Amino acid sequence: MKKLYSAIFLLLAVISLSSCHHVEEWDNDPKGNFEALWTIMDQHYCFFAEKDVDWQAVHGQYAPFIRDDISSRQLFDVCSQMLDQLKDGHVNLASWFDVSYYRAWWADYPQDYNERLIQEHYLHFKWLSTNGIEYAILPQNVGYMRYASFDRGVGEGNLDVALRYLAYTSGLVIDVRDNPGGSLTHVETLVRRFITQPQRVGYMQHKKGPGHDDFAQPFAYDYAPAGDGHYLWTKPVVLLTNRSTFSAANNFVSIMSHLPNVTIVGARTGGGSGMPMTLELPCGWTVRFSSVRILDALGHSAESGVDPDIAVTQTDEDVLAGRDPILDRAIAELQ
Amino acid sequence: MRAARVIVIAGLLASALCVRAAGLEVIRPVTSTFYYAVGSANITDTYLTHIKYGGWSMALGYERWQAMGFNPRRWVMQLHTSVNAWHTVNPGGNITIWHGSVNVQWGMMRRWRIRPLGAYLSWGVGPMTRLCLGLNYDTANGNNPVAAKASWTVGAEAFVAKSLRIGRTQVDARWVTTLPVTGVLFSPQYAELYYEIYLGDHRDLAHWAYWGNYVAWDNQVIADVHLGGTIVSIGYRQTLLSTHVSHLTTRMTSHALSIGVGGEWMSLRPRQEVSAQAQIISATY
Repeated sequence: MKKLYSAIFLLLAVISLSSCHHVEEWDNDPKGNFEALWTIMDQHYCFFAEKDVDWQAVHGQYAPFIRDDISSRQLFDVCSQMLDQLKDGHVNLASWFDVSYYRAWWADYPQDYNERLIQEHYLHFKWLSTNGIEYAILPQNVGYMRYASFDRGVGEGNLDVALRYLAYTSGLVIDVRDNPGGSLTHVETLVRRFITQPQRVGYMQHKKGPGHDDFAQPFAYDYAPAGDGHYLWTKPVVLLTNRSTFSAANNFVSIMSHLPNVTIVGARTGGGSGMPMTLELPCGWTVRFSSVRILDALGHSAESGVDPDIAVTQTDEDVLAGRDPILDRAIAELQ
Repeated sequence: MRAARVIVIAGLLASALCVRAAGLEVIRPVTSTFYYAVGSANITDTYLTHIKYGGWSMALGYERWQAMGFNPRRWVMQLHTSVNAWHTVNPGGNITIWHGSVNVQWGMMRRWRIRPLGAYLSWGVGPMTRLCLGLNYDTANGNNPVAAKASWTVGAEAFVAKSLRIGRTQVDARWVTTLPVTGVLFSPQYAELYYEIYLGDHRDLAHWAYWGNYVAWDNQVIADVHLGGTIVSIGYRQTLLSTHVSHLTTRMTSHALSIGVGGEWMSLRPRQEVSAQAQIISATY
């Protein structure tokens, strides 16, 4: 019986010891929250090398500002400024009183898009809408489709209606300027209308460990054309882009740029090709950051944006004159 | 390995033949209980957050005990299924993690009767297997709102049971402990998003489970109170799950009080008489 008791005691001891898988914890004070934020980014952010950011040096730059008596607002501001060093529109710190957001990736560039101008001077306030997209036939017999955000999904039936309506035009303009992104599944839904055979569209590469270089091998992913009798567009396409074409919209442009009948007109897109995830600080604030790299079909990163085939910008004079040179150039390409 | 298998099968056959040779008709009643458990819960899941969440747990479960056919005196089996729902919040109270899971477990145990302090106890130990499917859902996260949990494990299960009478009421008390030893479990990689898995990246999702990366230890202290033909089951149930895979750590614990209702039933053939010498061998007393 003594042997039995000894065995049970030993078993329980082994279990108790092995059940203590370590979880890194931080105090819920200014220093603890700062260190939690820095460590989360250090272990998860996927673009340190690409952006050439020395994150350890950033810690040394901002840690001295953290004192025990600073307010939540001050802590938030220091943390936000630290995150701004990454120059990434996908990095946000969310508290109950503010959300940090690095804006220079679009604010330092011309907007190159004016929605009202197009509605008034090109569409003459006549267009059709279906779930998530607006479309019309321009006087030059060119189709125009506006996809304002990939947050909103367009249905297969909606796309059939729109593309069949535009079928007798000479070509299609897809305007994704000011499109801030959204869901990649909606990107897939749209891209599938412009390919006629399975297409390698890119690679994904996630972090597999906390080290800056701990990446899994890139995973290739393909899109198949829309089947079941859905309408496929094979005529020329021009994509309109500006600096505010971001995230999933940036990926859409990156994918479409490799199709043979697609031309990109406008400005370099805003980038943001990483897939973001969210983690939390001890005080309940959340931080969003890029954790998965998306590469294009050639294995190149589009994190800093996609260059247009034809660079065109819109000046203030153009806006005052009711002109959109980017759309004008697209129409000229398709006529 | 083959020799071990042969020895086990031979042992089971020999046991079955012993019962038959004795010419005994054995009736093996099934003790089954449906229970409801409610208590506290804690979750730390570093795929979702590094912060420890606390809240309540709830479970609906079904337990079934029966002596095994091939050697009912010495071997018993237990089936245990449960549906679990946990609600936990972070210390700031602004984010919630929900947990939902379904567990199915079956074990068979060799039992002995012992008399350690002048009172008869029965205890048993044997192999078990368990299937767990579930998820943790974080209400604040965007592309990583869910951490799926799936495992199939084999391990050991043990119990100590004591039948006693309080007045004229029979009470069967038991402590049951379960400890998976090895198996397989699912986990995404460190910062892998489920969208990648949806696209077809199925690399390194299944992992070999062992005590170094997977510890799941459950304990139940239950008292079955026999009230006529009905059993009222009162108890305490504790669960612990701690995993560390792909640099992701999950710790989940719950402590719950349970109350259940059940009964003991026997399967008899309508056109076949029961012998006067038939023996009733229960798994729980």
